Amino acid sequence: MVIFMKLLSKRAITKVQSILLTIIVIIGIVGVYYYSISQPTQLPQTIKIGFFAPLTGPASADGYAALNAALLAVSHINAKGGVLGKNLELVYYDDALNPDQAIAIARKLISDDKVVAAVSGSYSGTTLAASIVFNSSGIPLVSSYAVHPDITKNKPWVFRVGMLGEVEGKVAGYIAVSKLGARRIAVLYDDIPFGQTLASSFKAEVESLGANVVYYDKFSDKERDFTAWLTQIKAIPNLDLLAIFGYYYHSAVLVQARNLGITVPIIGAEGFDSPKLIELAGKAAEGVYIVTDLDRDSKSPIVQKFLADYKNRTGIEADMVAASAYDAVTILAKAIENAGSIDPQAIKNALSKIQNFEGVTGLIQGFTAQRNAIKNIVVQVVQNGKFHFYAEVTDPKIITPPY
Amino acid sequence: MGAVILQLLLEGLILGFIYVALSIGLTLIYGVLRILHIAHAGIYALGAFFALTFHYFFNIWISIILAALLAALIGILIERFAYLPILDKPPYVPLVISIALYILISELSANIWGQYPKGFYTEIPSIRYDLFGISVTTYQLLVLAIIAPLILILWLIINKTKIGLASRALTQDIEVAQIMGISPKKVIDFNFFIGSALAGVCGALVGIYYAQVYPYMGDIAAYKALVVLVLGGLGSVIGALVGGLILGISETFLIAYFGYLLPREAFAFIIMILLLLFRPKGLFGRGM
Repeated sequence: MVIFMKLLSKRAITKVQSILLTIIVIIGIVGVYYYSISQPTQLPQTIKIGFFAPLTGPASADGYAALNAALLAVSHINAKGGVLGKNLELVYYDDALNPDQAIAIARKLISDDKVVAAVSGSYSGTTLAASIVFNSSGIPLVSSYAVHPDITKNKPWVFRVGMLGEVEGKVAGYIAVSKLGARRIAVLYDDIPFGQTLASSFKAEVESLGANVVYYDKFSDKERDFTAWLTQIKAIPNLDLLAIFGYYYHSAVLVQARNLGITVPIIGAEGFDSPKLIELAGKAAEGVYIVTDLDRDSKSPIVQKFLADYKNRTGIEADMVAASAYDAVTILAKAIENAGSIDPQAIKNALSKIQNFEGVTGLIQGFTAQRNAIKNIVVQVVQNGKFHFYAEVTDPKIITPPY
Repeated sequence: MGAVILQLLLEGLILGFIYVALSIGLTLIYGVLRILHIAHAGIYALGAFFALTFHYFFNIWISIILAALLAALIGILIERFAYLPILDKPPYVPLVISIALYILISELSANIWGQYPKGFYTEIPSIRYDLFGISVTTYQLLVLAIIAPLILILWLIINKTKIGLASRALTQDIEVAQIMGISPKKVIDFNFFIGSALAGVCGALVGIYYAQVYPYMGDIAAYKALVVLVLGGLGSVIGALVGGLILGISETFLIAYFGYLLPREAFAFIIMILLLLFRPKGLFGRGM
């Protein structure tokens, strides 16, 4: 082709040559066409599952964690013989954390790739956008770790394996007051749906348990300098605890808090659940509590195999984003197996009937009426540069999603 | 109460100096080329990555100097290969190219150094000193101790040397300056060199100060430097200094006393809009 172009561009071509070339090209096209229609239509060799996550832009680290874990889940499943005698195949795209792109991807997965179901490895905004398309097209979608309540609300085709933001905030509030004994609490949160949901449910739980929230403010997701907030927090008399609902990339908040001389215990949530938090904040991460659903100290062989294989595959330690994406794929595979068919309706019904599924984020007892996973919530604490078990909350009154 | 105000003033001052160091480059480049050099924020992020990478082999001081030199080199390459060939095009062309370059730099960095933020720890111990109820860390002192003298040196170069005079002449009128025998190419190179080196140092220091370096760290920096550029009056170095310090200090106090009303980016732009309404040439602008 390159030679053809060069010949044309140099105009060094004679009439005879040009006719010959045209004939060759026509024969080639006709040949390829006949070859392609002579192939018999093949039955699908694999069962296709759609997947989207932010693989470029500021959230790409989480996107890749989710993707690698999803691919790991697929390889684990296929190594055990696949599903319904066929291999699983993950068809994935980059949503760049852009809801418009997530909608386009959802349409492409459904109409071009003909996936039987899909998994979201993305944040709330993109997952919410895509969930509308999947729900209206009648293709099951399992969301890994996005916390926004509307993702599953009134969408019978959309399920969530991760924690609901409201539950997570409630558990953090319960731990802060009942286990850590805090009475005067400061709250600082990331001003996106994740932080807003957690902070408001945390505040409600803390106040219902009789403690006081004496400082309540937010910061922009891109913020790296928290000294203005922390200087005010430091000046609060008799403060018992600081709750920070941000992400691991807000690690500077921990460093700056300790540098300013704030010594009270700090509690965070799944956004802090990343080995990167410890790497970035160093000593300032010591003693920080996080509410999560990944228990690194779990005795479960499923969890330990996942942690080891993920580390092997990616070279980094797994976090709850990876664990949730892994569970989303495996629970979907289980549902397809239980359904005994790749019919989306059957898969959806099987998903809603799943009970006591053992995942790497703990035992999923089942789904609520609005398809949120019911599971125990874990609290980890950073000790000697590692996340360790601190507590597990099993009280159904606290951990059951309200809808 | 007094201690809290002094503490906030210190935090605001440090933030302000970072903004100043970042926007001086933009100011110098806008002055001679009339280009909004958005990719400057990419050079700032690269400075941090370069320092981090050199730090695997050298001590932190040598790493910062090497990072500054490499950042300056990239600045000059951008000038030669991206801006100079398109100077005769309408102003939106260099602007689009500059934004594209910024995205290219951040995505390339994400590919080279990975999507995750990288921790930046140095041999300089992080020690907290408490003086009169104010806490100050060695890293905060580091930022002040490097950026403030650099700005002073730069001010001396621009005001007391021949190349500084040439740069100022070009800023005022490129054609008349050429008639007077000033070679614009040399001055443009010089401005890109100084501006990019300063951005590189600034990125390295911010990386050390916040203990992390990440591919998209230029995102906010780009807005901020732009606001400071306009605030100070496009092309004025003293304006960038005053504008940057005002922005850093007022942001810090507003957040501390009124809570978080708006993201910092939005806040910075509100200041910019107000200023443009009441003093369209900026604080120190000469009406360009």
